[in-house]
Amino acid sequence: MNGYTWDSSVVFSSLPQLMSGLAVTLQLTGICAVIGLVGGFLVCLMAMSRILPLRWIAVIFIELFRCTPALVQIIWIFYCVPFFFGIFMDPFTMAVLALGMNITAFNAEAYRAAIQAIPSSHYDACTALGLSSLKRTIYVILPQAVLLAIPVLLTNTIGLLQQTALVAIVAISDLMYQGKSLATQTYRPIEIYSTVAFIYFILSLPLSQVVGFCEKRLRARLA
Amino acid sequence: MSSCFLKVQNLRKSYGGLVHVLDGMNFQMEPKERIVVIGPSGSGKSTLLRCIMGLEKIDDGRIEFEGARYIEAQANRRKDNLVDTAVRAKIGMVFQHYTLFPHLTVLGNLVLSPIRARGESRASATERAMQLLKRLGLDNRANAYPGMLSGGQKQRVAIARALLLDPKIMLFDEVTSALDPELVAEVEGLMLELAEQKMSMMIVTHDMWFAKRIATRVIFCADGHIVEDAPPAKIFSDPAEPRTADFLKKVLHVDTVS
Repeated sequence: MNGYTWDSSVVFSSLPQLMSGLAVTLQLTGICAVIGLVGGFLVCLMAMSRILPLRWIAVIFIELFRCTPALVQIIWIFYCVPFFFGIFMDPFTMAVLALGMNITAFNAEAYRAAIQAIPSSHYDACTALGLSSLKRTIYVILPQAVLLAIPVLLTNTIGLLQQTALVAIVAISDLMYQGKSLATQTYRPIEIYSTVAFIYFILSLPLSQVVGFCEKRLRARLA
Repeated sequence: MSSCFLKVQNLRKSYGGLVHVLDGMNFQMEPKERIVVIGPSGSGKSTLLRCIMGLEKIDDGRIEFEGARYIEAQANRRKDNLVDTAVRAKIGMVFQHYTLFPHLTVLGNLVLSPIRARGESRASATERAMQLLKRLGLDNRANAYPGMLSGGQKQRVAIARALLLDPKIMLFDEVTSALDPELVAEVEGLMLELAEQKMSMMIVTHDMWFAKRIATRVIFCADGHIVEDAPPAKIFSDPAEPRTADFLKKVLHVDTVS
């Protein structure tokens, strides 16, 4: 391999710094995942609302975030929001804002697809059973929508975990950022980046297993 | 106002003013009658049932139930034409595609409306539901999810769900059409049991043998009209209208149901 020898000691000596980066990555993922689960549902309700202005706002929001690269969104929010709106926040909050809005847009679509997958005959059945539209939403539509949306929501959350690596570019000390600085400090990019990749993989793998498990369970339940 | 059980007057409904699904339907029904509605597809049979359930907006006409104003065509109404929502609670309906809620167990499906819409206590609703399921031989499936049931079981649960609300009349909209042939009998059997208990029913079906067996009266619809309205013995052996005879000939491939 071009005379390059693998040095495991670099991996171990850089672990503490990588772990501190990992803590930031997990924090960022956790906060944005919660924002996405709740915000996504609210934006979905707006997008399906009968009130046209609400619907337009939601649709514009969804399409803006779905049709631009996440990296561009992060950089844009980081540099342009302070410039255009005069809002100054610490970098971590900026990152939460960018990634949170991104996953909110994707989750809103997941919820919407799930709600649309519920057959219209269920609405008739609710009427025949005397359930008001509010009770229908709470007891029949919402639980089914969440169940149907779970696999896609989880997939989006795995995507979020990977996407947090993008915030390294705006100097947030996440796992990727720490890896980058260690790689330049130690001149051992091969060992460092391999370790970073391995950590992301180890984190994501169980999550994607959970997705597979959920899909199987759901198929049995909703057959 | 006559105090008839169910009275449908001049019911009209069209889609975009072009297709007249119901083109002035009139009939009356007495308690404990079992009316089977037959006719070619597009004749308005299902729409008629859906109107009586209050699921469709009508263009003209009115429906009275037990002498009370129930549905009346009104201008400027967005969705339905309900005059009295309380009347609708006396009507039960079962659909072709079961419409059981897949996230709830059989028991959960049954008690949902009694608890959430009628304010019954969970204990009382559960007790009544279990009694009913036992009567139908479904008590061992109370905690199963709909996805685990056969089509026949699903449809019987759907009937039980409607019955638990103590309806005065049950509407059945092609409830065996989606079933595998070998599962039809258990659902029809349950409906015959309800007939023995003198439940008032309106049934839309394509199964003429079943119609003959369960009906006290048969209504033949075509193009949104009632063409013929007669007891089953009469309509199946000696239909008065040529259109009825023609239809029966086509669906039965023989002259009469024997």
